[in-house]
Amino acid sequence: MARHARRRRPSTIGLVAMTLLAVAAGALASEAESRWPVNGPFVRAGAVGTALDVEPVRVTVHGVRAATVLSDGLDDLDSAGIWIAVDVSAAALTEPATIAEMALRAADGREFRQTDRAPNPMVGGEFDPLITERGEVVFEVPGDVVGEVVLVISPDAPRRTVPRAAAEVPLTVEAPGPDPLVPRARELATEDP
Amino acid sequence: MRTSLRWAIATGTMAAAGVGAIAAAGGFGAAAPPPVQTAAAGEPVDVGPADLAVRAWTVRDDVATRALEGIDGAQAWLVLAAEVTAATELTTRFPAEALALPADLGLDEPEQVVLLPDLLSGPDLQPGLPSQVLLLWPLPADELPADDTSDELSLDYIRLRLDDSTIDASQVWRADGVAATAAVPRDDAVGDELVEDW
Repeated sequence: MARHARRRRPSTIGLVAMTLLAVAAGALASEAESRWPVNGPFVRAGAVGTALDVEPVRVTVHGVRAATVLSDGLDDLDSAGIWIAVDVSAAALTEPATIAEMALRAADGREFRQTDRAPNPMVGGEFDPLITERGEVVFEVPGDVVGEVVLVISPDAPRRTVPRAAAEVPLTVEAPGPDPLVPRARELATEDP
Repeated sequence: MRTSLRWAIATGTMAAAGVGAIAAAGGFGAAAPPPVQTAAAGEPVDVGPADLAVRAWTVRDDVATRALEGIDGAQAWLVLAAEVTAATELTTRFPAEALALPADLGLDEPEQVVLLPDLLSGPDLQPGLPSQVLLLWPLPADELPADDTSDELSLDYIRLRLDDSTIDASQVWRADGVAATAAVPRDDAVGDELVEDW
C-alpha cells in the first residue's frame, strides 16, 4: 500500500506574505464601495449645437458667456467671482419631465451647481413633451474658472450613487465682459431642440 | 510533536510578538490631538469643508421678528457675522456643525444662515468663492447677556473630517475635535442688513 505523499509546508516568508495579502485584500474590499462606486451615471457626451437625448429630456446647448455683474434689468448683483450663463433649450421626450440640476465642472474637478442667487427657471421647472423651451442657466464661480469647462446636465437624482442618466457638454468660457449680464428668460423656442 | 502543531505555535508566537511590539511602542494608545490654534477675530480657520472666519457678534430683537415670535421662549437673536469659503469639490451648504458656542448658552446649530447682501436664507456655497453670511440663534430671556457682560464671545471652530456613511456608499462630514478657538468682539451693527427687509 502506497504511503501518502507528505505535503510541503509553506515557508515562513510565504506564510507571512499570504497573511499580509489577505489583510490587504480585506482592507481594499472595505474601501472599494465608497472609493469606486459601481453605480455611476450613464453619461452621454455632447457638443455645442447638437441635440442630445438624456432620458427623460432632449437638450441642446447653444453657447456660453461670462460677466462680472449679473442684472435682472433693474438691479445689479455683484460677485466675488464671475457669472457664467449657458444658453440651453430643452423639451421632455414622452411625458412631462424636469432637469433636476445643472453644474459646471472646472478643469480641476470642482463642480458648481446652478446659482441660487438668481432665478434659474430652466432647472427644476417642468418641460412638456416635444415643446421646446429655451433660456440661460446662470452659474457663479470663482474668477479663475475660465477656459475649458464641462456642463453636466442631470435630469434626475443628481450626485446620487444610483444608476441615472447625465449629459456632459464641453464649453469654452471666454474672459468675462464688463457689461452686466442679463440672462435670457425661459421662453418657447422657435427652433427644434 | 506534530509538524502542524509546531507551525501553529510558531505563528501564534510571531503574532503575539508583533502585537507586543506595537503595544510596547505605544501603537495602541490614543493619538495626541492636533494642537488647537488660537484664531483672531476674522481670521479664516480650515474646518474641513470650508474656511470659516467669524468677524463679530451682537444680540438684537429687531430683525427677523416674525421668525423670532414663532420660536417658544425666544426673546432675541444672537447674530454672528462670518465669511465662509467652501473647500469642497461640489457646491455645498454652510457647515453648521463647525461652530461651537459657549456651553452655558445651550445653543446648537444656527436657526438661520443668511447670505449677504442678497438676504438669501440657507444659501448654496460655491467651491472657492468667499461668501459673507449672518448666523442667527434664538436666545431665551434667561440667556440674554447682561449689560456688564464682556464684549467678547468665545467660540470654538470644530474640525470636520470626511467619513464613510453608515447608511449608504456616500461620505459625510463628522466632528473631529476643536480646530481653533477665538474670541470675537461685539459689534451692534452686525445684522443691520436684516432690519428693513426681514
